[in-house]
Amino acid sequence: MDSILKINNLSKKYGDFSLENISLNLEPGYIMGFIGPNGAGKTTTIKLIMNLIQKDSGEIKLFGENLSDHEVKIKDRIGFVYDQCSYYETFKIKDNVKLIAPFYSKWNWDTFDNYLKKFKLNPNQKLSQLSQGMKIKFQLAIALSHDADLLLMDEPTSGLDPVFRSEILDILKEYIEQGERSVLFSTHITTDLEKIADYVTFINDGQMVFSTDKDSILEQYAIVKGGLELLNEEFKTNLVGLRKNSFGFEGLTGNRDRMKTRYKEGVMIERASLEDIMVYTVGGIR
Amino acid sequence: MKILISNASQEPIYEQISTQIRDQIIKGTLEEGFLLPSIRGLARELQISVITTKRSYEELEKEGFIETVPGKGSYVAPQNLSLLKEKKLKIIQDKLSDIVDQAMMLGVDKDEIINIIKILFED
Amino acid sequence: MKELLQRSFFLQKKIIAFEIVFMSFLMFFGDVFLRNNGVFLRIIPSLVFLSVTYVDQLDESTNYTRVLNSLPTSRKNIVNAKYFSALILYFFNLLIVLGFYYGFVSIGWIDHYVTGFWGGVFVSFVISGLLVAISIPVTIIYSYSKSKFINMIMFIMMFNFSNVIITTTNSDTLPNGVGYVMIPTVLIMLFLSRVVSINAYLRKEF
Repeated sequence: MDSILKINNLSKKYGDFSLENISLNLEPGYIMGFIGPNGAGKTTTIKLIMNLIQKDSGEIKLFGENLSDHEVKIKDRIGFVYDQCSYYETFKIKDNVKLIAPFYSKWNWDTFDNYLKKFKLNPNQKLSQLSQGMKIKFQLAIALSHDADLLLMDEPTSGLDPVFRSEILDILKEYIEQGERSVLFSTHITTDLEKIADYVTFINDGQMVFSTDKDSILEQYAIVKGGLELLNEEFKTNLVGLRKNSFGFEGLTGNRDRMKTRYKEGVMIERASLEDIMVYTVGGIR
Repeated sequence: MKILISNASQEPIYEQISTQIRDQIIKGTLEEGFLLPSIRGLARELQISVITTKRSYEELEKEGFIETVPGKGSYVAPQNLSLLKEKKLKIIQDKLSDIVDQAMMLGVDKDEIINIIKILFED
Repeated sequence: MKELLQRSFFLQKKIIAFEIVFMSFLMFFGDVFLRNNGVFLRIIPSLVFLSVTYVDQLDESTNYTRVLNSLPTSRKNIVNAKYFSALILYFFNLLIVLGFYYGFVSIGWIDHYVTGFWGGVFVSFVISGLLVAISIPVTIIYSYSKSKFINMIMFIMMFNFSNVIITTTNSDTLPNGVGYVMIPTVLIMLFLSRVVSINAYLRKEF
């Protein structure tokens, strides 16, 4: 089966910012977390995928095809949730949806009504009356109601309370359970991904850090703690990020096994969370 | 079948799952022919990655604890009783070898260790 | 295309309702009391122009263009729909005017000939066409907020231009030779405008 989304060496200069050589591959049936600090290029990448902005070079394949060749057919299979809800603010939920529904060949009103009920949204409410979290729910209800094969979400959990965040994760798991659909989920709240993501793509300042399955990332990286006397230049080559205080250091290594065998004594090696990996990588060696 | 995942544990999640399933098979709580939840179903229930559950099952399959019939699912494999006994012993042996390593490092001798074990059994 | 047109008429529905009321009002007073129809036909371009720019304004103010361009449609379709909906609106307005005109004629409230009727139809088409042909690409290239001023000036100019056309073509009755040249010119302009708009829209970033 074709990949749901395959990106090869994607580059784009966008104002002062440039995104360089992004590559990733999302197979059917998986959730990919797309992480990086604010301004890393997550939204730019998502805009490129959706053809909202044009790439400078590289390749984006959706369901094995170029978007520009089959734009209507491909977008019919994508559900999107953006960080900013750009629907008509002064319109009611139901009127907004009435405008959207005819675009999708597989739109299902029953599914949509069920999600509205599930999310406790009133179709007669105007969008301007909705909180940030409710707007995300509204977008998600639309994205899930036309039998899309790819769910593209840009920072969907940022404005949400923990209860609904966990609800979303449940919905996503259910969404991919049959093994045919996938989710690309950008966020800077990595705890949401810690459990459910199958793959993680990490970009920082427009550059690719890694894109691979989450379990191997969590095995490869580790937090290292130790006394300052250990910190010579040779030791530092093993670290991606480092923080020192008067009593010792705390750092991130991208090579846990090597650390374990070489510096058996004197260092403490702990599991790194995705957040640790992100924070230390962005912070670098200080 | 019972699976509890600890986020605080140092042990990777896939290992937590395979260990718990393995323990239940060895103890006999999960009997031969028992149909395990699908890889995707388990991932959904536990809200964890599909890759993680897949890896746990692969591990168990490699060790001969479960069998996967394509299109049907994974079952608890028939366990050879003497082999099972061996496996049980292997687990204990692994743990004990850690203890022996530690004992040697700390300079505790064999008799002292055996003594401790005896006391623990009597408790 | 259907869903795009449906969308734009849904957004314009308040304006369209206003148009129907406004036009019937003007037709009644114009035809029956002032006995001059052409003036009101010249209102059509402003209504068409208003409806078209209203959608652009709405889409831009909420950043809806991002949603629209994420939906299963193409940029080319989106631009085509702008022209197509303007055309439909023009004929819709014309139909109201003609309906009232022939309605009043049939019940004998007005004579069969009203000063400037066909001239008005002609001028309304030329002016509507020019307004649409210029404002759509200008709005795409410079965005609605930045082109508001240009559009406004153009709108006022066109309104005066309609009088120029009427005198030069002497079309208070029926278009003469110059008038016949103007129609194809407007059609060609609309065609070129569409090409420019599509090219500009294809390069836009949302």
